[in-house]
Amino acid sequence: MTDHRDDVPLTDEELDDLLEQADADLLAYVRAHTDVGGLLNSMLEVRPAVQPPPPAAAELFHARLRLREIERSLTRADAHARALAASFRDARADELTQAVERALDSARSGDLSRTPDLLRALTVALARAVAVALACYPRRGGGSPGALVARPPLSTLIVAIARGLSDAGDLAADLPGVAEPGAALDVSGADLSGLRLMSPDLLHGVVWDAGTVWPSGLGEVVGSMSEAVCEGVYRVVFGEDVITLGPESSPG
Amino acid sequence: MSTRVQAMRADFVDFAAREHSRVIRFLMRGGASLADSQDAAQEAFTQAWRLINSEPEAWARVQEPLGWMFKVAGRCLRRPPGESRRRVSTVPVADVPETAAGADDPADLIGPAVDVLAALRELPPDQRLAIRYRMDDQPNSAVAAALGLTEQQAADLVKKARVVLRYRLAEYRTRKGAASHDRSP
Repeated sequence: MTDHRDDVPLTDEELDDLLEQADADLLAYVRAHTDVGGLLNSMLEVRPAVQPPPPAAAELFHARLRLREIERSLTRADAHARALAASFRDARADELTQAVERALDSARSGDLSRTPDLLRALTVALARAVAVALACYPRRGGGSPGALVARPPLSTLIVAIARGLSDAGDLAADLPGVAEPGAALDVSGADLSGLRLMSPDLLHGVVWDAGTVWPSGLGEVVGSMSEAVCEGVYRVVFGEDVITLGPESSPG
Repeated sequence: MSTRVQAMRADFVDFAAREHSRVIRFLMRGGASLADSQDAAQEAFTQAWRLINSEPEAWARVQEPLGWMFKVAGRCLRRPPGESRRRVSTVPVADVPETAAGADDPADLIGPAVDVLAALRELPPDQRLAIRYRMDDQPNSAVAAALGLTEQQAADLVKKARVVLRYRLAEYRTRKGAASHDRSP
C-alpha cells in the first residue's frame, strides 16, 4: 500500500535522511575524483610576503640616525673648538677641545649603549665652554660683556654643544624602549614613511630593498644614490665625505 | 615569518585538506560540473592562501572560513573564463549560473545523489542557494549574508525549499521501494 505515494510528500525526517545519504554519496564521489595533493602543492609554492622587521628594529634605526645627527653637529663643534683653542691660547680652551673630542668619539662609535658617556662628555664640554666664556669676560669695563662670548667660534660652539646635549638627552630617554643593536642599518621591508630626516646623507651605508617604504620624495633620492648589494638589495652610498658608520654597523 | 603566520598557514593547510571536497560538493549542488567546481574551489583556496601570506590580519578577521570559501568559490565559478581572478570579493554573491549541470561528469554518480541534484536544480536560485548552505550546516546568518537578506527571510527561504524538495523527492521513495522490490527474491 505504501509503494505508490508520489503525491504524499516526504516527511522532514525522510527528507533529512535522503539529503544526508545523497550528500555522503556526492562527497565520496568528489573525493574519488579529486586530487587534493595538487591543491596543496600549488598552495605551498606561494611564500609569505617579506615581513617588516619588528618595531624595535625600526625604532633602533631611528635612534641610530639621531645619533648620527648629533655626531654631525659635534663634528662642526670640534672644528670650532680647535679654532678657538688656536686663537685663545689658554688651558681652558684646550680642556674644552678635549671634552668636545670625547663627546665626538662617543657619538662616532655609533654605539647607542655609550649614550650616557656622550651625555656626560657633553655636559663637561658645556661647562668648559661656559668657563672659557667667563674667562673672556672683560673684568674691568672696556667693552660689552657679551662681545667675546658672541664671537663666532665660541658662540657657535656653545650653541652646538647645548643642542647636542639636548638631543642626546632626548635620545637617552627614548633608549629604554629600543632593543639591542643588530641589523639596525638594514631596513629591508621596513616602513619608514614616518621618518623625518635632517639630511639624506645620514642614510649612508643603510641597506634596503623593494619592501622598504620611504617618505614621499626620499625614495627617489635614495634610489639614485644606492648600489646593488645583491639581487633586490641595495646600499645607500652618499660619497666619500659623509659620516662613516661605526664598525659594528656594517651591513651584512 | 612570525610564529603566528606560521600557525595560520599550518591551520589552513589542514583546513584545505579537510574541506576542499566539501567546497566542490557545495558548487556541484548548485548545478556546476565536477571539473568546473574543482577549478573554482582550487582558485578560491589559492586566493585565501595568498591572503594569509600577504595580509594575515585580513584572514584572521574571517570568522567562518568555510562560508568564506563557499562565497568566493561561487564567485570564481561565475566569472567568465580568462577574466582576472586575483581579487578576492567579499560582497554577497548570487547563485551559480544555470550551467549544463554535470554534463561532463562521469556517469558513476548514481543513487540518491543524482535525484537530489536534479531536484535542487529545479529550485528557484535563491531557495537553492539557501538550502545548499543549510545542507553544509551553515547558519541562517551565512545564508542571509550570501543573499543580502535578514536571517528571518533566509530561514523562510530554507523552509520553502524544504517543502518543495519534500514533494519533488517523494518519487524517490517510490523508486527506492521499487528497487527493493526488484531485488527481493
